[in-house]
Amino acid sequence: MTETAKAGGTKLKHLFQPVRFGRFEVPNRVKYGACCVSNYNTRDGFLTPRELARTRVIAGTGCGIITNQGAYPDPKGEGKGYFRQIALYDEKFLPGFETIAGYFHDAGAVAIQQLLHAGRYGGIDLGYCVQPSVVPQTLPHFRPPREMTKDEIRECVQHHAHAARLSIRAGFDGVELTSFMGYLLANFNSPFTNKRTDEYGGPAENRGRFMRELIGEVKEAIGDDHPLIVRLNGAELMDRWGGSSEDDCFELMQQAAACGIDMISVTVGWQEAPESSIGRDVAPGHWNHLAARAKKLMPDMPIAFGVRLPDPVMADRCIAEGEFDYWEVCRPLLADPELVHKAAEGRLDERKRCVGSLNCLSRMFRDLPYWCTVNPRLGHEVEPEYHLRPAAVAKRVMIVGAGPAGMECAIAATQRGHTVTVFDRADRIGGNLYGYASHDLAHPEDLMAIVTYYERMVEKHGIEVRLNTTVDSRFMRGVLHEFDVAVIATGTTVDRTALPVDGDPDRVLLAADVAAGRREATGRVVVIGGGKVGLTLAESLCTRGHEVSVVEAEKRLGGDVAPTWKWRHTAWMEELKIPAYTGCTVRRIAGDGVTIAGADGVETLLPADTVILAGPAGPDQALFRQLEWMVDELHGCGDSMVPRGMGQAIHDGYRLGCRL
Amino acid sequence: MPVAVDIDAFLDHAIWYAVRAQRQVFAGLAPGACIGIVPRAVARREDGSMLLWQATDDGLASRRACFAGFARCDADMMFVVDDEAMAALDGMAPGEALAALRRQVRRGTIVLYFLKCEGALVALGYEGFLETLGLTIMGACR
Repeated sequence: MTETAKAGGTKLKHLFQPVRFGRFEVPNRVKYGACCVSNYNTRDGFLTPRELARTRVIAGTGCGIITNQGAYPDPKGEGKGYFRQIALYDEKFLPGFETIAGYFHDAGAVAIQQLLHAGRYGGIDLGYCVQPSVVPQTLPHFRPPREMTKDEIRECVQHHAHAARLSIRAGFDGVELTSFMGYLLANFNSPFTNKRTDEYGGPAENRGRFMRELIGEVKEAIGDDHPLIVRLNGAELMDRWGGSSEDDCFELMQQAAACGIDMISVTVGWQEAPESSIGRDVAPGHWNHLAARAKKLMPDMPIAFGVRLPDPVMADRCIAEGEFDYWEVCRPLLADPELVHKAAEGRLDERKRCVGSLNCLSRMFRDLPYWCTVNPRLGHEVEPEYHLRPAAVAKRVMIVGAGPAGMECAIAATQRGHTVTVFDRADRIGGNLYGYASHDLAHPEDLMAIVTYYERMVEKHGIEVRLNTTVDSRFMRGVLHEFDVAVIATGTTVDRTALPVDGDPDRVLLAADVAAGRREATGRVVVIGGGKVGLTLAESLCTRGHEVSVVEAEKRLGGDVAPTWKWRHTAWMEELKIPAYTGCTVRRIAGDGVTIAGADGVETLLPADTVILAGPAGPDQALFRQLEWMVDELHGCGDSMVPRGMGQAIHDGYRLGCRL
Repeated sequence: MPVAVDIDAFLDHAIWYAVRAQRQVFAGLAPGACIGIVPRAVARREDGSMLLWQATDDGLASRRACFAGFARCDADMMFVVDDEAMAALDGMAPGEALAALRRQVRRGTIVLYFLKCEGALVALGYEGFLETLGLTIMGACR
């Protein structure tokens, strides 16, 4: 534990107040939550060097309690919910866990091992999963269910107890059981999935029996010196499908508390829940009331909470007001592993904020390792190529484009010792992200925080930024030999000339210009291009009083939208009643509007006062040829190479900055 | 829903004809792909009738079948429909049927259960159908 994280918090004094937890003196009230399985490990559950390198970073986050990601506890793998999840059912796994417990202790943290039996999301390598009852899943990623017999229930409890015992042998201080996201424990607790008619089903008292038996056996296995934490839903968000109500959830929490557990971690939602719990369409702090209810109901029980609570300032206030005792945080620390230190040192303006894009979790549905939109280093800690090492030769670098790719490259290159100048024709940093964030209906502050971060880094590292500057060959002749390297990060472009416009092509506005406020839409609007930019702009303009239609050549909208976010646009388009014409081509754009034709060739006139072109977008590579013979090294990054969106632009820019 | 009285009305409801008539929605399904529709009360009792839509070379065939629980059901996916959904779908214009169905799925008054694994569903051509419903085959992750 660094001195700053231990003693810091002159500003956030509640968050950084040491606290007693059982026999442990915890240096602060931040608990690293094991909310993500990394998928960095071997297919048979052993830890890898990649995982260990990542875990060293977790150890260095400055959290007072650190929970290691969930291990499945059974040899068959019925509890295994993720492709490369770690296992802990046998002594053969112990060496890796011993190393991790050592990392956490060396950092001064209390080390907790989570046991994760995924229940209806488990059996990932098997042809089935186990559940209290046969209730199929409402997402297609999972395995067909089998009902657990009573013998299997008893065996499952014993597996957990054995894994808990192994955790303590590995050096962990305590154990955590989880019903997070709809795993086995949650499946028994919820009437949505528990339809049993024996003593494990029916009223909450019966449904909670599995949990009580599990707690009893695990406590017995680890002894009183080692704390047992249980993660339980404050709200399943499955109640409309027959799941537990909030009241039910709190009754189950009380059952767990009565069994003598040492901490409750309050969570929200199942993977299948039909509404958002942690996405960026949920406002930070939205679920805090659930933690407050738990604390009020069980004042003597330590309560940990952090669902959609990415802000340490808010967490500090909640602790001060007695809403919970520990800020449980994971995703914000994926985005910025230095977050706790920055909070302790009063440097929160330097944090990289978790934007709630859920790319971390969504990749796990593809059996891929987790990933962070804003932190390119995540998962590559073991690779020196991703580290910022001093440049062997300090170079003068010009970067064209102050969007995410350009800025990431600029920051990384500057930190390595290069002298960087960023050029952009706009009047501010952020590129097209600024306009996009301005129109985001979800939670614009999240995306805007990326722009604010770049502005702060420019100030901190003294990066020269020349705005309102168009770079072309003529401009380059004026700065010839001033730079050793040019990086083209000019993003995307859309081709207006291909449109069948009667008269002045300028009557068609570019989405980027409208989004950034350089051009204004009036009256009825037709947006051509139903990708993420077109949809975002259409939704935003609609909420600002415009009558909007969207025209898309492809069969479906949102072709470039992340699979896990498409539903959000579908819902907004429907709620806002925005007509979408898919599979349509534009035949004519004239003063009266846009004439489109479907696959059947039938023409329809969409009346419009403003026509906006939002796609298809291609890479803006015009500068490559112009600059080819004018600078020693010429590179491209981000959308100017292949348009793939913000996350890839950030990663591209950073990687290039590491390499120059 | 009082099953004994209303099951015929449920299975013959105009909304199912209207949805099934949207041929383009089901165009990607491979022959043999099978979608079930059952009232919640029948699903709860695990005893009663359901509607099955089966993809054939000539389109989507519809038939009634017995529902005796998910474990003994051959459909690839099941729509479990509650009373509130039926009330909302009642009198819906045919052109609105699919959007109305989608709304009820989102609202949770219709629950779509998957009885086959993702790989099998993809092989049977369900990806487009699920996208039309506003669902993503890889999970919502909200």
